[in-house]
Amino acid sequence: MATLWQDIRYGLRMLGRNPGFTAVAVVTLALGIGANTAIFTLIDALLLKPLPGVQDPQQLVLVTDNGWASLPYPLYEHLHNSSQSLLGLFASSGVSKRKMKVTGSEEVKAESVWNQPVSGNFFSVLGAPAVLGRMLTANDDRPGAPQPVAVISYDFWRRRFGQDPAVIGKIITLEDVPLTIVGVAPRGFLGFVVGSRPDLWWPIQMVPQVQGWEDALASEGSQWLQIVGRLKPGVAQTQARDELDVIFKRMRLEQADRQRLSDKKRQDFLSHRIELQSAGTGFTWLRRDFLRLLSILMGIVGLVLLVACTNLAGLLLARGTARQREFGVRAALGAGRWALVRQFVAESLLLAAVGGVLGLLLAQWGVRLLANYIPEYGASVLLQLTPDVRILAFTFLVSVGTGLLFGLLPAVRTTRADLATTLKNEAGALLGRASGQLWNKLLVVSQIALTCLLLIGAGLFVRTLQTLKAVDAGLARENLVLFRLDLGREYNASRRAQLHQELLRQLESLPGVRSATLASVLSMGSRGGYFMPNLMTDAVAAKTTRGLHCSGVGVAPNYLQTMGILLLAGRDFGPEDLPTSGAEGRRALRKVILSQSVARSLFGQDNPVGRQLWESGRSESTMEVIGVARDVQHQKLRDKPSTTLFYYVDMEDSDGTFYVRSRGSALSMAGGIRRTVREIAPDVEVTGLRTMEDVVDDQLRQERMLSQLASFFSLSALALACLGLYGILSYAVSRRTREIGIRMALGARRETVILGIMRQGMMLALIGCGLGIILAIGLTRIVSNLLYGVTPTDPLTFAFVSFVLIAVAALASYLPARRAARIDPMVALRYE
Amino acid sequence: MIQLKNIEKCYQTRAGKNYVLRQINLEIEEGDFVTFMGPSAAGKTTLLNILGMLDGDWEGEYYLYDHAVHDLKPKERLALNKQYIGFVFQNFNLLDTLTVYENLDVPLSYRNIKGSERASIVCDTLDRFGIVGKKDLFPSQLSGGQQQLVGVARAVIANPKLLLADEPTGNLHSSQGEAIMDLFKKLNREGTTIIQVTHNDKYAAYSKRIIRLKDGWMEKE
Repeated sequence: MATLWQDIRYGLRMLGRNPGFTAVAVVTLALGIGANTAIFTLIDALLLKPLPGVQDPQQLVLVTDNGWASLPYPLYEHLHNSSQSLLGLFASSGVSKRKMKVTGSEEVKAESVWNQPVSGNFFSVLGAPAVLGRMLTANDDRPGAPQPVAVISYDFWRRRFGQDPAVIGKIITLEDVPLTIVGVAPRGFLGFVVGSRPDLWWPIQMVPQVQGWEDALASEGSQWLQIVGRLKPGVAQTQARDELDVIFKRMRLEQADRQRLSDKKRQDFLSHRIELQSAGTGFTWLRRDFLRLLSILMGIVGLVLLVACTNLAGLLLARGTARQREFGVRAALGAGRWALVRQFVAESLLLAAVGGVLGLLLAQWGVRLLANYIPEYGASVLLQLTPDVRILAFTFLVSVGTGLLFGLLPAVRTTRADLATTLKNEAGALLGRASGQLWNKLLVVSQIALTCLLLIGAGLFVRTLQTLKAVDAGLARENLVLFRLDLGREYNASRRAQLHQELLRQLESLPGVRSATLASVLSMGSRGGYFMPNLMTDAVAAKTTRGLHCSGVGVAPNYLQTMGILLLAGRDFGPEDLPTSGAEGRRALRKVILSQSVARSLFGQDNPVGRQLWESGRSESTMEVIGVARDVQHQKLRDKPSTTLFYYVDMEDSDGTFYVRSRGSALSMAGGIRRTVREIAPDVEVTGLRTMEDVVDDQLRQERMLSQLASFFSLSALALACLGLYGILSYAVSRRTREIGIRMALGARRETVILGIMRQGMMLALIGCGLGIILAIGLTRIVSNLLYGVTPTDPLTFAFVSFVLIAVAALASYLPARRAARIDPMVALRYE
Repeated sequence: MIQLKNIEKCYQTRAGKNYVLRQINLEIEEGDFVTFMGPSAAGKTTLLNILGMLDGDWEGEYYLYDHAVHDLKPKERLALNKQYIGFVFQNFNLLDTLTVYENLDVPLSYRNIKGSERASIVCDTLDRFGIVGKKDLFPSQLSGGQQQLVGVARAVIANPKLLLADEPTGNLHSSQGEAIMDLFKKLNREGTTIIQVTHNDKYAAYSKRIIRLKDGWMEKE
């Protein structure tokens, strides 16, 4: 122990005596370790952290249908009533924002709260007792007769009610449905959905009232719940799965019989099975979206750390030369090889430890930046990013591993010096030898190869982002703003229609507005058209019974003009196309506009305008084509353009999106839009007001995250690799000062000297670059499904990266070469 | 104490073998004070390094007490070195980053001696060599003579039976050199066997035996 302490003390002193080296090493390590810790913190928060405030979370299992975790309510009821192997089984929907008012409060305006409908046994299965009042019970969630109650979170109790115990019994309204607060959840309890912080929970049986979704609990096809069970002690997960699967199969069989499915569909329907997943760490869809991304980022920062280690190993190897006499003396005084290696490694570990501590601090800042790339529900996710034991252990292990990785090779090489020669004070005895130089060159070549791989990866991600940004979605993104309305329950169908029509009229008369429209889709966002199967025309029906599947999009007049979608034939919708109600309206042909691909599929080369079509199952035509529009991409930029059929939107629909095309900057319209809505309907809130460019940007968050982070880290690696190259060449120049002096005294020209040194550097850069390209050819296919419009071996990216790498390497080689060429022969010859 | 039989050392060059020591046969008794003299490249330092086991690449037989050094593995040679040998260098070779006290502590730290015991030995040695007042100074804060005094103190702190000194006065002026040689004489009287390399006849005269080397051969005694 005393020896270890002595090694540490001497190590600290050595580092203190070389502040420049220490600072460079510590900053390099802090960046490398910090980046790794930051990514790991996100992985920890998304994947590994046990649910806070939950009793024995390792006993929890998530029920999935063939791995799919969104399930219908009837299935929950069935499993809940029949299962024997579980202590309990609860169902919960997603966490979302709803309008809440506290009855009796002076606050007139409703506030948005994060809330979650859950089954009555939610808290008892999770083992979370109330800190005040009581939690929800099975009685609160009785089918058909739910109690209008709610439990609030501890944080919400503190924030909104100032921890007032009188909160129990208070009545709040959620979407105008009154609920009585019956309890406060324990401190730190955040529920089951990772990254969310619900303010209140209410019985799932209240969904029809609160959400206005009448058949939510009866629909067998609506997949909207997560079902979670707690295993009985001694029951294995497989045992529980088998039992639930039998119940599930029985239920599916009954459903299949009832639905009279065709043989193939029945077979497919019955092939589903229950799978259980450990749920001690909760549930989030973010895992599906971000796990692969984070794994790739972890790989990238791991490589950057490896470059940093290689760089530091090179620096230490060079420094070892200067310290050979010290180690020689220590050996002569009786130090064994192990003692010398230990002393050397102790210094490396000290550097790594300081780098690790700084890295941990850096990670705390960096992880918050990273978290901004992860959106959900239009807001950044509230992940628990505070360091825990796992993160500290990870940082510790990475730091120790790093210290050993960059310290061991120089330690072994330096302490292998020939003692007798070293004690004659012949500096450079070890590293001056060809083998010592070879190691240093190998380290530099590895750095350049890894950097080349990282740069190529980053280049591919940048090209992907650029290509996606440039995708022609078929609509004009600029000067287009969109928003939605948050209508209360008091807005019935006719009031909604009235409001929508009036608002469209007012918006179009706003100064600076070119046109405005309403559509049932959130273009480039999460809401697409609805599925319209088997569209038929006379010509198609003559050939086949199967029609064309397409996506139906309800739009108001001026949709094509507002969205900047090219009208290829016919006309856009006008007010005259508004479907009339009543028997006459039902008989009238519905006017539709087809996208180019739908028109081509249904009518071939013929002009479809004026032609008729119908949905399979109808005996006569129900729709008449009034126009053909260019194909449009409604959702993911990566997908193919949708096959779309536009119809006149139902103005009573509460879920539409307004689009406003402006003459100038889209955002300048924001004030006018809010004012107009306020004037027409003071109680209606404008939500999600954004420009279309923002919506597209939002869609590209993952791509931006990858391209920006990969670029940052690969450029850091490039800086390190060039520092390494510069270092080895500078060292070579200092070693060859006398030789260069003699050469110059004998008439060598400056250019010859410069070329000689640069040749050495460029050779290393070329070998490293070549190896990097080979590595990239082998490894970039791992990320092929994250790329778009560019192949994993994109020649342009490879060529550009090679050019940049060689150019930067040339600069790093030129600086020491220029210094060599400035050597004064007289001074150099006196040097030794 | 020491018996060398046909010790030879050479370097392989493109032109063939280049011998630096040839047919060295030598016996040194316990309590002896021996000086190796000779011109540059005679092989004096090489022979001293072989005796001190800093150089393991040679041929012949070398016995230290009953140990056949030529048959020992590097680890065993290191153990023997730690047990019997102390080294004094021409250029002092004090560790620049350590204080006088810590420099003296280094050899003890490699010999598994307890911390408290080490402190006591270091304090005794500081006292014995009259350098208590310098214990917290770094080598760069000492004169050449003082540095070599610390070098000698460090060499003998682990109580070696054999003290090897490679031109210990080479970097000192005459009065400092004489002081070091007086110290060697005293150590020798107290029982330490000393082998030194020097070019200086006056300092060689302090020893009991002078062995002359030339071109790797032992000339005469």
